[in-house]
Amino acid sequence: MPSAAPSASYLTSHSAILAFLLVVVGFVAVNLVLWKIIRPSRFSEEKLTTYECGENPTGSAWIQFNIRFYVFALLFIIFDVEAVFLLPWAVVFREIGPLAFLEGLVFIAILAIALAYVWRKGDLEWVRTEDRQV
Amino acid sequence: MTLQHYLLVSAALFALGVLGLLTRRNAVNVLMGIELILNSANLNLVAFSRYGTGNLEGQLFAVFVVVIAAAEVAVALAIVLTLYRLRRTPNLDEADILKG
Amino acid sequence: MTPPVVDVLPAIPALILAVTGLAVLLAQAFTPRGQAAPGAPFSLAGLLAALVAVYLLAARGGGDLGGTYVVDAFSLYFHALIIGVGLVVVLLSPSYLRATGIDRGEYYTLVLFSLVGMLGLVSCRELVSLFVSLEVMSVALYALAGLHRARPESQEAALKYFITGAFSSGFLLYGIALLYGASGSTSLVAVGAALRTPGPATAALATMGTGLLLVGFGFKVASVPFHMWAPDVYEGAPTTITALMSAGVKAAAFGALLRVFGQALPALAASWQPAVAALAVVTMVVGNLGALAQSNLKRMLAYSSVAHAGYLLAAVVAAPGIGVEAVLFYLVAYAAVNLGGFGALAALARQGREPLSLDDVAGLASRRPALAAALAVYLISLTGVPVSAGFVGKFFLFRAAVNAGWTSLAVIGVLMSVVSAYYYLRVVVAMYMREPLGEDAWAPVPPSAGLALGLSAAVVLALGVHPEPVLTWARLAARSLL
Repeated sequence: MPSAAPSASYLTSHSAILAFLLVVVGFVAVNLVLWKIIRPSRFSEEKLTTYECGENPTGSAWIQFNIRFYVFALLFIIFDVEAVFLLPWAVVFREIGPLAFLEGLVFIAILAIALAYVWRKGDLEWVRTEDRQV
Repeated sequence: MTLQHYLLVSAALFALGVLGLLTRRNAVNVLMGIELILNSANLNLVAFSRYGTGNLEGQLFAVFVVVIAAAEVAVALAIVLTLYRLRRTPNLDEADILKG
Repeated sequence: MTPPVVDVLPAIPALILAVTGLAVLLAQAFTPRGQAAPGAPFSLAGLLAALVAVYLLAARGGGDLGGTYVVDAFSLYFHALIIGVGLVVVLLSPSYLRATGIDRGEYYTLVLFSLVGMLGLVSCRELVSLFVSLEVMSVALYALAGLHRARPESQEAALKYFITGAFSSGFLLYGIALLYGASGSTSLVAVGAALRTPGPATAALATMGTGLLLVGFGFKVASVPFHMWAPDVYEGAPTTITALMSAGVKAAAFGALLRVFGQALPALAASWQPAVAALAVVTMVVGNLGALAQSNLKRMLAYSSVAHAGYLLAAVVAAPGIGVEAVLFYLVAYAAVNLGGFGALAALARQGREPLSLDDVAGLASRRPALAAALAVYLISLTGVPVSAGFVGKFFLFRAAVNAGWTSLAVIGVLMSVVSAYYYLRVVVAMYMREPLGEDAWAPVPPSAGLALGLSAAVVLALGVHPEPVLTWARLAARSLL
């Protein structure tokens, strides 16, 4: 509702967030301190290893990642950030009129073309089809 | 908080970005420096929009800059990756074939 | 809220190019792996259609897209120039791409996108769209510079171009932010009006912003001391892209520079004119002395392009006024010459190699007489010998500087032109006076590249003999800026 005065409700809604924040921080702090006092502390080598879902950790964490991760990350960043234009557009296009709606569609169509290109190049799959054939 | 505070922070970010760009060897760190520079300008734009000019053009501009920065970094990372495949190094000072 | 009435017609040339680029991209996506989509014919059709659209727009008297994107005589002049540059580059490309093994549809898409950015750059009357256009142009060119994925030189050029380009964009953006803070607007006209009556704080912000803008543009036009990327990038990038950068990017960057400094910052002329004059002097001197020391032809032409940025800046000092038309005229002459020079090297490429040293072009006149003659015409025009476009152009540049009271700039410019004769004519001497070395290693000139080179040479000679029509047009364009 755009006509409502924003300031008062805006501030009270933030006080709820503050309350949650205090509860969360308090809960964690109390538990950490309390169990620190109560629990016995016996360390062994196995206990001190990095937790990797129950598996024995192998090698360093500073390994080189598969290059495919980067390609996916790049694609994600591009398509993700474009959404920043769609959000304000979705809020106001009804008021501005058909031309704005059309412009938004054109924008999405361009993104769709880019997506089609990436899909045809096989970059949406972990193992590119064209690499598999080789 | 006044406009001056924002401008000071933004100037500091800008200086950090330039410093990072000029002193770092690793290409990814240099990209971070570029991001700092662009975002220091963004901070300026938003601060001016909020405290100085009284219109929204600055905030609008900032949105465009964010998107452009993402596109730029995507292309840059792609170039760094290709160079890495060829030379096995992310260090800029080892890219030195072209000189004279 | 009433729907804003937007006249989209002025953007039609740019839209045609953008849609063509997307069409080529899709065509490439649906072409089997290992084959190239027919990008060149698509692009040629799109560029010709855009040229027709520019002509129709000129007949209609231009137009205005919501006050941000304006097509006046100034924009139309640059539209014609930039689309012409695009046509020549696309004509040069197919044979070069095949010879170097990078024949892919994406090349043409990126070329078209960068052209769209250039069109926007010279047409934007608002700082947000100006910055967006600049980045559209630049990001496409970063990728193009690194298109040769198997050559480390190409990747290195792309990386260096990206880092300096992004650095300069950052400076430019920070300058724009300060100007916005000083004036409260991003429209060039409103900025200009606000800066005419500045308060003390505003004046400080505006001066700092102007300085940062100058640094940003200095990088883009490759003026000393912001030129160090140019030789490396021009050498490492695919040669047709080097031609596009030296002709198109320089023209678009100077167009934007003239528009921003002429429409938004005339009130600060007293503070930016001396700075531009200083840049012009060091650029002319360092560019020409740097070119003297080069043995690689692409690097030599790169330093020559730096030197020419200096000549052009000498006339920008005289803007807003008589300097503008001189810059506009020279940009056409300069674009034709550089397309020709880099194009001639690209046309001879065979199996990934192209002539790069004086030994490579020794005796070229006996093996490729037409190409050698064309290359000689370009080099003579770059020197500024009479009856070439370069002479007429330099004459107007230096006359503008003298008329604006900067005689010393003109004197340095003429002296440096004399110095430049040494390294330009050295190539002509090698082509005509020396015997060829060894086997003929170069490709026969392909017909489309021959057409492009012939067109460039014809423009150079026509402008040298009969400059009036283009000059009249440039004058008209310059007037629309005021």
